[in-house]
Amino acid sequence: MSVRGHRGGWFAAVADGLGSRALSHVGSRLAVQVAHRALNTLPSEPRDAIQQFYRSWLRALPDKAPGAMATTLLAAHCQADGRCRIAQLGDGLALYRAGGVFGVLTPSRPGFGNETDALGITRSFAAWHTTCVVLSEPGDGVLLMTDGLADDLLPERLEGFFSHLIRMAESRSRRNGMRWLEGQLKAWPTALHTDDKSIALIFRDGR
Amino acid sequence: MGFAKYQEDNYSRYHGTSIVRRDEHDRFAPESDTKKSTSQGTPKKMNTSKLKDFTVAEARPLPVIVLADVSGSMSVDGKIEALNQALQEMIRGFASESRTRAEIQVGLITFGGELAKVHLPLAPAHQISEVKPLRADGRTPMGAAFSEACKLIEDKERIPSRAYRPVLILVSDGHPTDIWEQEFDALCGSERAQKATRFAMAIGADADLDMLGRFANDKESPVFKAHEARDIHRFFRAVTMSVTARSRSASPNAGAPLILAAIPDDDLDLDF
Repeated sequence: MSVRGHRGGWFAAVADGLGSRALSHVGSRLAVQVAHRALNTLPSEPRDAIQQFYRSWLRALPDKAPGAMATTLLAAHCQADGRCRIAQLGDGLALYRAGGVFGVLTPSRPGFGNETDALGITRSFAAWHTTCVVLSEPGDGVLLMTDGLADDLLPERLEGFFSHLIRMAESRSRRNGMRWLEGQLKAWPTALHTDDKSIALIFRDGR
Repeated sequence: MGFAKYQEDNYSRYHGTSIVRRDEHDRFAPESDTKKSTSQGTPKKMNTSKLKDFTVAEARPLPVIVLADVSGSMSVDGKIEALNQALQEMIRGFASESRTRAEIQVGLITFGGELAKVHLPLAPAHQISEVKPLRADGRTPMGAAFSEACKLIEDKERIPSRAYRPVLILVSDGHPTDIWEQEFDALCGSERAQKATRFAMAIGADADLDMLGRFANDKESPVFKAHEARDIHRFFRAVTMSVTARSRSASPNAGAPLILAAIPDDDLDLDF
């Protein structure tokens, strides 16, 4: 997971290595690092940008076994002027609000839990979900999370969840916001929750 | 402004200690501590999460659906009695394991006479108090059972998308008497049902091994042939071990083959 300031804007990415693959933790770490490093050079066309990023990730792997390092990836790059690109491969959830209008990038899951596309396995561009939005109003933002959180959320309460997190984050400093969120993840209300949990939020505040 | 948080699943990566799990889910908590706090009347720590309004309370289900042949031929040689007992044992086994990583749910579809019916609706194993004994009678409408199973698995209300891949278990001692191919193809071709792990047991020499062989889709777990009543127990004990292994696994969707060799052949017939 990575959240970094970038030329007055913000970059965030969460990646979840496939538990069944031996080196997936290496693949997931590299995915967020490579995505961040590639920001300045990625083309504006989604297909070209994803292909360039994917090739960079493959080159960065320590050996030639991408399947062993398979990982999901959700990434968002929001520029200082509010323009924001979001991309997702695999499970997890990407939510956004742009111009006061809430949206869900992630389509509903066709199969069962823990079945996912991933870097290192999936070659198809159609498996990626991408969008470009403009965060223009206070309360606009992008929320990325791995399936350990996404699968436990009520589909009809996604907007409420998004708004709640932004409200909580707005009323706290960054450090306190993270501490609050850590407490919430530790006390995650779903029974038997043991999956990895990563979450990242970029939002436009009212200040 | 941006911030984020990462909470790793320490249990899966390290050695049974986790900073994520809540106390009420903590099967690793020392039993003595739990008992002490209960006996002293200490109120259980309540979940203080502010996110309860947005989340599902229930654990992710791992559905196990048994398709049981209750045709007339099952009434001889103690087969139906053995099946009844083996099913009870399996559910008891799941109930004691169902609070680990996934919540094992059990459903039972029977086919006998002229139709297939849901004998036990899908429910968490630990909430099933009893299963009405099966009675054997009539023909073998297996195609109707495939249709019921397909309907159940495709129903996202009953088996949500967050569920782990279901397990389908077919138990039969004869040949289907209805037009089953079309229903079988529908089961194998439907969006969700085709992803189920399918195990099969052939009881006796009259079972349709070819058909059951097509049903079983786990290469490491070919059709199990039961020659006597106690083999039925062996099969269901292997199923119990396979499913509970999955429910404890860091990747419950990964298959766990039936390991029948691990069950001693000379076990006494004891009810535990």
